[in-house]
Amino acid sequence: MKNTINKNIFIRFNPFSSKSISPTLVIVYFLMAAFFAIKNPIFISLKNYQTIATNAPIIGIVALGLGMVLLTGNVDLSVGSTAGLVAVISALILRNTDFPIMVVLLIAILIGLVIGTINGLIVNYIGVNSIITTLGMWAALKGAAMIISGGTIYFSNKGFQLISKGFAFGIIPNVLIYFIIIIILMYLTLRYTKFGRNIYLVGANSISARAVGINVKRTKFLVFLLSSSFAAFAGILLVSQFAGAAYNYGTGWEFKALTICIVGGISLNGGRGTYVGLFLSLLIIGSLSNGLTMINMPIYWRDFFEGSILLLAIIIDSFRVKNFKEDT
Amino acid sequence: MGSENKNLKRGKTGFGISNNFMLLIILVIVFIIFSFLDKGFLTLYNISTMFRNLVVTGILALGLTPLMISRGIDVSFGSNLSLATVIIALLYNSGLNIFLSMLIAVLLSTAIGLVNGLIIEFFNLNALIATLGAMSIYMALALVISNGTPVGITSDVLFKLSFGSFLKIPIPVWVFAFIILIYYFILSFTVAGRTVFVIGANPIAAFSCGIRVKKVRIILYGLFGLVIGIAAIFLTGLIGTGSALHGVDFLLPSLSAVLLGGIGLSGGSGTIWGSILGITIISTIFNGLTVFGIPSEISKVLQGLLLIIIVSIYEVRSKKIRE
Amino acid sequence: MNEKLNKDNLKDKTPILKLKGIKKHFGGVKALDGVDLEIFDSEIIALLGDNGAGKSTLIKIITGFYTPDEGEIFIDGEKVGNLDPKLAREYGIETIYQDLALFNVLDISANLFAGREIRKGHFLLSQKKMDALAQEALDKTGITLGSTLRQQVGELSGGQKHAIAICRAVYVSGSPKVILMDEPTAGLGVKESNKLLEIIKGLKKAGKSVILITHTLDHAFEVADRFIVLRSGLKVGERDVSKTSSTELIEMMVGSF
Repeated sequence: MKNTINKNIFIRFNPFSSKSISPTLVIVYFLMAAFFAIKNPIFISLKNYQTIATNAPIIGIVALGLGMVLLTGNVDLSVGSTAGLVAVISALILRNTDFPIMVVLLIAILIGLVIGTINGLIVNYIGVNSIITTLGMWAALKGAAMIISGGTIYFSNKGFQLISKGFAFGIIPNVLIYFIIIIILMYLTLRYTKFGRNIYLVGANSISARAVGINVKRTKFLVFLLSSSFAAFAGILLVSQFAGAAYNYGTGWEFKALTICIVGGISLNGGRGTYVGLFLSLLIIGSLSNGLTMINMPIYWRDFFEGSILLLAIIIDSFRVKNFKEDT
Repeated sequence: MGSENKNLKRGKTGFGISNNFMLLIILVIVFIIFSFLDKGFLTLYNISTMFRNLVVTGILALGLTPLMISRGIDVSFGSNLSLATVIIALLYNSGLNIFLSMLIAVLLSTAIGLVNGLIIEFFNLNALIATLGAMSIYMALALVISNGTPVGITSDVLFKLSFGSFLKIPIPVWVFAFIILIYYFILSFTVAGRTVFVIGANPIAAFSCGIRVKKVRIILYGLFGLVIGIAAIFLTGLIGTGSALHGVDFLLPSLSAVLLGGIGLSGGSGTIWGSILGITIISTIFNGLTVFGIPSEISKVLQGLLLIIIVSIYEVRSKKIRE
Repeated sequence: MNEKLNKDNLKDKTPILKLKGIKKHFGGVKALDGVDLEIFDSEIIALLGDNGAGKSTLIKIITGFYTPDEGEIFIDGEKVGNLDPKLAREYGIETIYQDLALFNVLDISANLFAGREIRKGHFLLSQKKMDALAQEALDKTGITLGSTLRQQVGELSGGQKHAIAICRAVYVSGSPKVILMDEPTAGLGVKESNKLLEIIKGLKKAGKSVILITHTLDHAFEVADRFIVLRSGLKVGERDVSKTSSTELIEMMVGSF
């Protein structure tokens, strides 16, 4: 018979498991940072950290929302297109009207909520696979953004630009503050509220969850609202940073956010993952793009590299589920 | 109990009359609508051009069909396709014989299909998500070797292959028809084809019955890769370019076509003819839209909505049947 | 714990199937922790045990669905390594799983011949031959379906589905040597259960062996020659049918021993 390899080590401490991934991530980060720092010392300068801290939190916010959907066992591929669409619409509004900033923000979030509602309804109340649904939305929203934008839209509204370009206390980028606030809120929600608990239970075993009285459909529906509105917020931040929007904003964000979530320990199978892991993962992935630029890796090789990381993350994630079926 | 299930497609290969018949009616309606809107619609020239153009989507949908019947899926085919077109163009432009270029591209796309299959089956990954990840890798690869710019290619052979006709029927359509017949034959009359259905109907039970599920699926992924290579040849010929950006445009139409044809994500049933009807309907609609000057952005929106609508309809339908 | 069995007239025969020291774990859970088993021809064994005792796992190891982590399997005295479902079938081991392992969207004929379709030549299906044999097998099982062979199995009643599963394992497979049944009477009515028990007795008469998992001790007493009781992955007892009682068996299963 097959020789028995004692796999007990991994049962007790799996460096890739959703619960104990944080130490691994910290180590990975330091190794990576060391590598980049050696190749290009600018990597560890304050200025560079500020650059990272201005870009990474935006996609981080998207990942925060996506993470909730993943925890319940679904996927949301429309986040990138949502961010792009919201960016385009907001830019249009800012250029052609003088609505106050808060109003524009509200409109953006509203759009996000509408998109999230559509996604949530189709996936949970009609019953269509979330990948297919959000894939369709990905295309539809992208097309809509293309139609509405008709090219790049610029505006100049200094106040608006400060939303994401400003620095609190002079050194910490505003976007980082937003991100930290949101991630703390998410963490608290997941840990201490009933809703948060429900999310984990639904993701872990939706049948049991229903059996103990949780409204599974509603929980799964609500997280789509979160995901899309966070993506919408990210879209606003983007627009604020560039004082304009083009239809291709947000392209590829769904993959990046997905990578951040999976590397951060949020399993595609649902029910597992912590936002601490997500934070560390953002640190790694956010610095990665920056680092690759620092070492002058050609742009398309970067895409290839980042795509490979996603695939690697998916493979590692597949080991997280205890499989009782050996084959098939 | 039996009569209420009239709308369920028959599990056996061959004609699932109700579903396919309905699709046929839809197709006829679409044709009628378009011939009213455009006087030149029903000419031989227009029809043959339309069919010539739908060959790429069609071959892709055809290759996807047995894979999806077996409950597998591969959404990276758009990127695989792009990569193959870039390979053909680059190799030929660097002096290699056109036939050799095509052969290498096909071998490569087959290899990619096999790699997908191996990774998915070996690690037991969710095929949809894994191939989503693979999609970005292959597209990045295509971008790398083409340096982000489309590669033009002019080859007499390729031109004749894509734009030539034999007995008034475009050559690509001949090839397409040939592939259809092969798939139909294999799925309906061979043990291998039957195995595909068995695996899709219940993968675990199939394993209990002695079927090497993983091995068969890996072969299907590889076969899909092969077919993608063939589609790439025609795409390169029709557009005269090898580009990393083209493939993504085929993802939704081909996937929607197969889903429209009745190959559900739950596998085990479906017919080749369903996919063919699906392809024809979808291609006719979007081709017609282009002819009428509807911009591609709107097409993109419609493609996304159509995908969702198609799957929703099937989903609602099967819910009703279950009650 | 393991008592030696009285096998007077079987002492010198080679068991059709022999398992030695079978261990199987899933993650941190030990499903089987060293189980031995022997079965001879024309024998019916009832495999008993509470939920989680490891009965289904043991069956799935015999049928090749799972590979044991440790232990050996001997069929007709020969050691068999790397048993998989295909190989098991070739050795004459047939199984009726608890969930029946049927294909709901496929028709009756396809279900009966899944994995061993009859060929015309090397690659082609011989639908005619399969349909003919299917009809024969169905008649032997004694079911009247009142529908064609093209009927989707998913549309059949529970009892009919059971019948198809039995037909597949017993009659379509040619000459099975050992037939494993995992809770075959669960969900069956009285009439159908009795029919099944008759089939099992018929199998024994025909020289075949049956390993039966059941929770209905009455059924077990009616057909079995021997009982094997598992508890927490171990074999805690083996008894001749004539030398035990329900009480004793239950005590063994539950552990007030």
